[in-house]
Amino acid sequence: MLDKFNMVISKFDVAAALVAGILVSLLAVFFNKTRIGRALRAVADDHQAALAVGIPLKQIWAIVWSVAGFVALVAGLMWGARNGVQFALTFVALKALPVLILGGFESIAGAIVGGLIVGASEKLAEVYLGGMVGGGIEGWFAYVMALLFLLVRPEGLFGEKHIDRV
Amino acid sequence: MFYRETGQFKTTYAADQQLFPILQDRIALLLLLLVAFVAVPLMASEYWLTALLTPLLVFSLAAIGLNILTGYAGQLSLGSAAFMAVGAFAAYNLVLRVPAIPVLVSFVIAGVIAALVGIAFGLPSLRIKGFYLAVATLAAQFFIPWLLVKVSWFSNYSASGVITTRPIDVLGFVFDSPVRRYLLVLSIVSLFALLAKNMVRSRVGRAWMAVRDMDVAAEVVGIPIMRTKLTAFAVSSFYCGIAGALYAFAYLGSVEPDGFNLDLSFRILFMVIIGGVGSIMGSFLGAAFITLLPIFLDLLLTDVARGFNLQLAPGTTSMVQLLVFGALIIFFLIVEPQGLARLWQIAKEKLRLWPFPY
Repeated sequence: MLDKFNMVISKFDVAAALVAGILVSLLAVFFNKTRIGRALRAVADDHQAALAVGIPLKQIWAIVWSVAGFVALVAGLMWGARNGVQFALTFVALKALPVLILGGFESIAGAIVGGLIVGASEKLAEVYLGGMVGGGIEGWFAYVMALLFLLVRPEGLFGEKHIDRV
Repeated sequence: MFYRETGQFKTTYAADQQLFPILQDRIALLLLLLVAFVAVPLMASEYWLTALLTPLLVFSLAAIGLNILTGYAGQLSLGSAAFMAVGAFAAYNLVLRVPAIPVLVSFVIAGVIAALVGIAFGLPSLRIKGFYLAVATLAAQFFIPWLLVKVSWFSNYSASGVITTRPIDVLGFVFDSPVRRYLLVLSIVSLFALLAKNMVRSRVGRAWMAVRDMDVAAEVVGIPIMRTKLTAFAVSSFYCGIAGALYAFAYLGSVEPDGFNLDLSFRILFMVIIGGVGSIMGSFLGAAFITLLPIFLDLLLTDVARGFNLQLAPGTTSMVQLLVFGALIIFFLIVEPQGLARLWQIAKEKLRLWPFPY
């Protein structure tokens, strides 16, 4: 608890934020600097081209799924320790989608910024706008925001712009 | 030996363009309809009609709707349950507030209202596609039930948002028994399935498929992308809306907005994927798979448990049933990624050559 700034922050939240920060920076290094990370991004861009330059696709799939599972596990542990574990956790995972879209695919920074935007705005909306329409807008606000955002910028905040080719 | 088109000469354009060009297909379809319309109502028990066959048909209709959007026009959607909710609540309000309109007409109007809502939520598809669109339709999925709960006018100020429908009547004939409701749903679903089958091979349907296969190429050859995508959303939501109205009026009798949750959307999507993406018949097969399999698994598991003299905790069978169900879905998709309709296609090709497959 911090009393200095007249704020109440639990130690657990700080620890969770720290863990998330460390994990994110590890992932960023992993994706951008290591050989496997580059192979992952190559596979994401184009399976066949990646296969053609000699990237073992099956191995890469295994790595991708285990990394995804590990990260989700950490997130689940944190969330579960904070808010309890129940089946409703699946809906939390679903909220990762607007985060991803807001931030843009292919970008770790996008995931962080998107997560902060979605998290903060849905709580703010609930507090300030929710009262006007009867509350409970937390459930859909993130999705509607992602929808409106996509209309303006389909590739997300940090995503790469795609060019359509025939 | 028996199933082939050899010797069936088409001498008119009408004969050449008919929906089922092979005689054996027409006979099989007629037989199937005969069984469904005559034999099933005579033989099936009340439980079968109310708990299995009616929902099966209603979900088939919803799956056809989603199949039009996802399978034919290539727009992934996770909002089909929300459009069903729109249909159900629109039909309820029309029947309640405008008693002059016949019930069936109000179903159609409810479908049109669902189509309009579908167009509104389909607008993002003009800018985004694929996975992004799926997330955008999630907005519809979460927003619409919330709206239906919050604005209590929609549920006629019922405290919990639950609406209870009154029996359907057509020209004074009341559909109040399970058999009658089944027959009504069956007629509506067969009609709309035939319409859908016809529509997907028409100019509109071919435009959908062109957009699905490659939208830029479709645009280059002169297909209006905006109109095509929005008609796909409109028709799909129309089907889902009608399915929702039937779900409320003919199947459950009383529904609440929270019943049309993401779970239902996913279930309809699974029906489309398992049945076969881009196939009207696949929608029926998928709906049958998803609706009937859990019930049969349940019965089977209870029997197996009794056979082994196992004392199962009350929740265990349903848990095991979920596990087996999930494993079966994965198994089917690995064995046949293109769904049950593809299996039927393969069977037909084999049947054409049987018994001399060379």
